[in-house]
Amino acid sequence: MSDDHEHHGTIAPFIFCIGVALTFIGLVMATAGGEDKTGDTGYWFVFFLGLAGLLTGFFMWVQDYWDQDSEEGEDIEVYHDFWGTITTRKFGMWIFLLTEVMVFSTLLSAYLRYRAAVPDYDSNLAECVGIDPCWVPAADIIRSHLIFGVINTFALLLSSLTVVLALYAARNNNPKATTRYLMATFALGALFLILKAWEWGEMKNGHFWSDHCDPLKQDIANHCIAPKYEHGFWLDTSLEGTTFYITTGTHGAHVFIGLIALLYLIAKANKDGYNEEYHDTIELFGLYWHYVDVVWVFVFPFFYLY
Amino acid sequence: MNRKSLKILSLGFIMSILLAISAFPTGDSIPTGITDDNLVKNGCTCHTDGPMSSDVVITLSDLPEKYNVSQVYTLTLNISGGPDALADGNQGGFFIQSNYGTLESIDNNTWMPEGETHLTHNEEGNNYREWSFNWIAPESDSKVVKFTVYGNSVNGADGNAGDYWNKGEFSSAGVNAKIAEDHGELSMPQKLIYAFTVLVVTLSVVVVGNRMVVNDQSFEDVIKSYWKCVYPWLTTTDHKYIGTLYICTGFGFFFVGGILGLLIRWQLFEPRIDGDFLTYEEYNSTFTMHGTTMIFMAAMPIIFGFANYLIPLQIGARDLAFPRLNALSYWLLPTGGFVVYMGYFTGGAGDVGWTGYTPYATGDSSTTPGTDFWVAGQIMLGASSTLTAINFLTTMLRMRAPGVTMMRMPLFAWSIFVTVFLLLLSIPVFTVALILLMADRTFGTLYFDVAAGGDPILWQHLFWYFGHPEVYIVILPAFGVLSEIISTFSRRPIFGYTSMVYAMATIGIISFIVYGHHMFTTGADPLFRFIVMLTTMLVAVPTGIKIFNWLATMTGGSIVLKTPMIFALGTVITFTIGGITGIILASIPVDVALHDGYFVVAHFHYVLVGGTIFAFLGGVYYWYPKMTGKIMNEKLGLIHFALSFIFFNAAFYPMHNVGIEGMPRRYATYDAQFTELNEFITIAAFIFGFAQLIFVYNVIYSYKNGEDAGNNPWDGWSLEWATASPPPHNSFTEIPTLKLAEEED
Repeated sequence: MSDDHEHHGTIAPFIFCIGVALTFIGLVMATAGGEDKTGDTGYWFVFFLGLAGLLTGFFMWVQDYWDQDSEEGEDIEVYHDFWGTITTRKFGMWIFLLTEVMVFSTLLSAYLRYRAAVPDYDSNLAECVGIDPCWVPAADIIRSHLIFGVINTFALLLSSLTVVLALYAARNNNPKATTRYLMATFALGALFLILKAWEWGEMKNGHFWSDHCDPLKQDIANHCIAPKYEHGFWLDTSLEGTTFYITTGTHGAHVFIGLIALLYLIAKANKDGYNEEYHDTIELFGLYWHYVDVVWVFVFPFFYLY
Repeated sequence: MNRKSLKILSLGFIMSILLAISAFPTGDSIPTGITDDNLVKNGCTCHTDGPMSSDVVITLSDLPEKYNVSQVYTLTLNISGGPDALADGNQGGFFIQSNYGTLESIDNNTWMPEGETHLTHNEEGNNYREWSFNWIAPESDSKVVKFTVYGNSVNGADGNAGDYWNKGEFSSAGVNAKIAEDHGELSMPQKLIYAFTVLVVTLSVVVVGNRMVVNDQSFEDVIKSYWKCVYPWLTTTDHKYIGTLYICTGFGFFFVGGILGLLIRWQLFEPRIDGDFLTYEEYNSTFTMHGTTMIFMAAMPIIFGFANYLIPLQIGARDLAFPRLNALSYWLLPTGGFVVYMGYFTGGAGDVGWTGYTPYATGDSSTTPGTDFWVAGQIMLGASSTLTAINFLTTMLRMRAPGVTMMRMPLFAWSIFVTVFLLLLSIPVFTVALILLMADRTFGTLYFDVAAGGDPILWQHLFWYFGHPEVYIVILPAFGVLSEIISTFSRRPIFGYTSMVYAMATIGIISFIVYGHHMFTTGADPLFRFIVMLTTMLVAVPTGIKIFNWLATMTGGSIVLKTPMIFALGTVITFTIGGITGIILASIPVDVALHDGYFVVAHFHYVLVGGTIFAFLGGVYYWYPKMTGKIMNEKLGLIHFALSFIFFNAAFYPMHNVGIEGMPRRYATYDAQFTELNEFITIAAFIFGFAQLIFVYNVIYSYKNGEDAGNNPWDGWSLEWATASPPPHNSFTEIPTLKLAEEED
């Protein structure tokens, strides 16, 4: 029995947590002090050391799964059926997604709370001129370049399909197709992030707004009042910027984490090949990925259309 | 990965941490070259070779100690020392930047690059070692202006060789500036922490040295043998090991938080002026850290320690569903706690209250790194709790042994089930709120910035949406423990099991619709307040059901008065007092009067100490035999209970009185009329604190000398008593099947 214990023991969580702590300590020491910035940039060294530790822990953790080539022993015998016969890991994933729902509910309700408190600048034009606060929705800044948001939406939705196709291929013992579909998912996710980064850059530098404010195009929907953002639109310019960047940024971070997981899945698919018996991980990832899509389905109308 | 490479990797990582720690205090010095970000960023990349040299002396003359608003000062910067320059070569150069006010060139020797705010020499200026320029003071008289200066003393030859440079800092303050205090002198908690560190280091040196001398072992051998003891704890994924770690960490932090509490009490022994014992700032950080420690690092870890240890045993599982995730949850606790405490090493811990109310907690008001550490550490603790909740919910829904249906789970298991549901829905909200606060403080977002239209009350909504369920997260497991103990020691099954379960579930649901009662004084909508008042009072119904069920269980039972039972009885009394004051506070007009006073302090200490801590102390006495195989000493247990119970009430009951009389909470001093009662409270609190040492002694003493417990010393009925004490590694040699006595095979 004691052998058993040593077999299952792992130092990875410990190292991971030390890494997280050092990352935070470095970050705080380097940036602390609010406006006056008493932090010292010398401490970024600690931050990167922490990141290294965090990644070390993470890779040590993943290593265990990497070496496995079957799901034997991964699941536990269940004596009480609850929601049919799904595996324990999948059950855990569903509960994890429940916590994630709370994460985005918080962000969206904080946004709606501010949005509802302040009049929109074009809902009552006369009232809003010269009045502060006055909400200039991110949607109006993006409107002239909405096409990129639309492409992103379709990219994400399509990637939800490809991940299902990857699972389907794995179930049909078609490892090559599995890898291809996983790569397609990765490409679509990467496209999303690249377009998003570009869009952020343009908005930050105020390009969208100046396009929008082209005097030749001025009409009732395209007026140029409150040139609040002539120097750009960033997270510290206004509440509109704060809510937009933090919410879409949190979503983007989720996509990014998904891409890292996809890298693992692709490499693993190349090494062992997922098959009829062994495809649970793709399904778990698929759940997460669908969830990230669903969040985008809420974020997109809230920030890009409304 | 094989074990060897694992060892090498972890060793390497630990070495680099040691390296980091040794490099920590010098992190702000500049080892070689002008590598300061500020300077490089601003384009001054020349002369970057060679170390900073103290030979070069930089002076900035005519800078006033106190500036006048918007006045123009002509400053003179002078460099001396360093190499002698060739007669016709360059002499030197400089760079100066101020964080407030404007610098201005007044002659041909200096210039300001376009789009920048710093001044530097130009070609012409290279021929001097002294430059003059104007500085226009800022429009605000409350700034502390810092000048960062780099001076380069050159020898005039080609190339950088032989050139020396140095950095200088100068400052000037506005008439009304609050000059940052010099943290040269250690604060009281800092002194304690340093003393504690020295103690630990000394002890380990003594222990290791002792073994080296007595056993004649080499240093490596001693370290190796200790490493053999420590390594299994670092790598364990066994729920019993992790449970033990949780419980020990929790009580460790309870000890630290208790010391902070006693510091608070000593400060309030008599009305004190600033710095008499603690300065007012130190007092703020002391009560902040006391609250944070007790809730997040003591109460919750103790609860999840017991849950870790007992839930798999009680439902007949071998371990939790995700053992490695469980290890991650645990390790985020001590590391997160360490991050929260880092503030003490950087000039003052977080000082924004455990609730972290904005705008106190935004970057404008709280500029110490301590608050940033508080936020960062709390994010880690929040992540830890979220993972724990996921793990437990999965375990309890999926891994019950045959026959253990939901409605046959012991009540402790049920209490944890409701608790993790609350955690699942509430703690991500708090964690996100903390991340928003961190973004505000660090990256300049505006969520809680009043000037930009942000709403500080939003923080209170997010915080209390989590904060109120949190109160039940802490008290519900105590209900579970009480139910187990009272049922076992009354020798009767719990009265009204089903109603107990529904009562807990109801408390859980109601907890999400009452949080507004923490915000009666924020000017919330009267209708909102009214609804919240009613739902708050509604909580009394299920809670009352529980208390009456306990009483009914004891009625007609044959009560066995052992230490756990005595603690449980004491808890029922103190918790009931805390619950009743809660109902009093739920009433809006009463709360508006008492909200920021000591009545509230009395209320939540009666619930949290008199409820949670007492119940779990009873829980330690109850389950200690299961965990160690030994029974704790009864006599010491009784003394511990008697002292704790009497002096807990002596310390906290009078707080009701001073609260009603109008003594405000969170203040470092008070009106002289409250002195007598406060002296009494302080003395009682100290005795209560020292009484806990008896408990610590009892735990250690009984581990060596306690009676053997056997599998089931108390004749308990739940499944954990069916396995050996302490339980074997896989908890059950065979998964048990639970049947009712009348059920056939």
